[in-house]
Amino acid sequence: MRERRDMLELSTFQRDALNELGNIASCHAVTALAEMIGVTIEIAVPKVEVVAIEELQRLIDQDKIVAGILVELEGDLSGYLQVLFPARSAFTLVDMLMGRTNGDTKSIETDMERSALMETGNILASSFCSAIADFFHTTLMPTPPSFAFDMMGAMVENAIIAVAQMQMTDQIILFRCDFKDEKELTIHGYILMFPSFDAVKRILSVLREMVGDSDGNGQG
Amino acid sequence: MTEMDKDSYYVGIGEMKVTHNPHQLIIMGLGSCIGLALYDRNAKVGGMAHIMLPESAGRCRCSTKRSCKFADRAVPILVDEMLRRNAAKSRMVAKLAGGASLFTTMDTLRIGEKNAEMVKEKLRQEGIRVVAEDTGGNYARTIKLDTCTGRLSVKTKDGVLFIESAST
Repeated sequence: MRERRDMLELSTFQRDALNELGNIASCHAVTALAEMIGVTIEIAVPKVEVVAIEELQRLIDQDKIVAGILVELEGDLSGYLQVLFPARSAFTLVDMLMGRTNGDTKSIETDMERSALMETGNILASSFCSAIADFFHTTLMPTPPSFAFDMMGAMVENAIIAVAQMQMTDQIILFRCDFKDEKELTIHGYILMFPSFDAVKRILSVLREMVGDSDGNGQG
Repeated sequence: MTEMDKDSYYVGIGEMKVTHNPHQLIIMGLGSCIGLALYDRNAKVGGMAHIMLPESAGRCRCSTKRSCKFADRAVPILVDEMLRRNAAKSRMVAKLAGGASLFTTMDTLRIGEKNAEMVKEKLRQEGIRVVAEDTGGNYARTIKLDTCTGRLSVKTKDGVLFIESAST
């Protein structure tokens, strides 16, 4: 039996670097979205959090209804990525994308509405991934997205399970980015990345090389 | 739903909780996880486990607190805890909900389905009857067990439905 207790301890440098990475990637993603819908969008400073699986559920509003897409990441940095829009934001987005009057969309029922949101999520996910891939000089291929409109808790739970299926760890590194449009027209969203444990190790080792392993306190 | 009712306990992913009347046990936003509720109507003791994956086999990370992650381990652990709280196995009934598949890309993994199968298999081995079940589908559920009545309510984004009260 292997004795393993893969507890992740990020050094201050690693945490800063990951935050910066999340920042760059989110900016790319949100810029793509802003161009698409022609609205200025602000992003809150993204946060990278290393959380235990059960904590994660406490960080989010589990009952909140969101429109979300899930993509699987293939390549060196495997894992899952989710883009979530709270219901109201999703409706506003559909109004914008489909040229409706703001306030027209009140539910997500037709395939047109679903696919509009799926495409939006996909654009965000793809630009997020390509920024991350550039940074690590690797490729990161998102699979075609799938869509759901339901409780946030269940969606995040789904991603957790998917990662847990790949390898057992009690912790998740979460890139979390909240954004909203300038006039608070209620476009608000989240990008959540759930890297596999192998991906996390790879990310950390690259970061370590970048500083020449000066403090050498990463886990080996 | 009224937030943070003081008589309510929230059962997080991979966790379990056993309590007695008048408390309520709640799991919010169940996707492909299974919410398993056990109830003894005489003792008015109820328990709930929030189960993530079917089997712990081959995985050494199943330490104490989160051991209810896996169906094969969660069922006996929950039953033991019920017994410790004066519930009797002969009177215990089971209700389960969840096991949905929200995203089509994850359909092939059939995690929800396998979870439900494993939970039922383990309950069979324990000799505990499943009196109500609401599993599968492609929607999320919030469930609540009332330990006064044994009633399990299931809420989806479209509304509330009760899955059978404790008639047995």
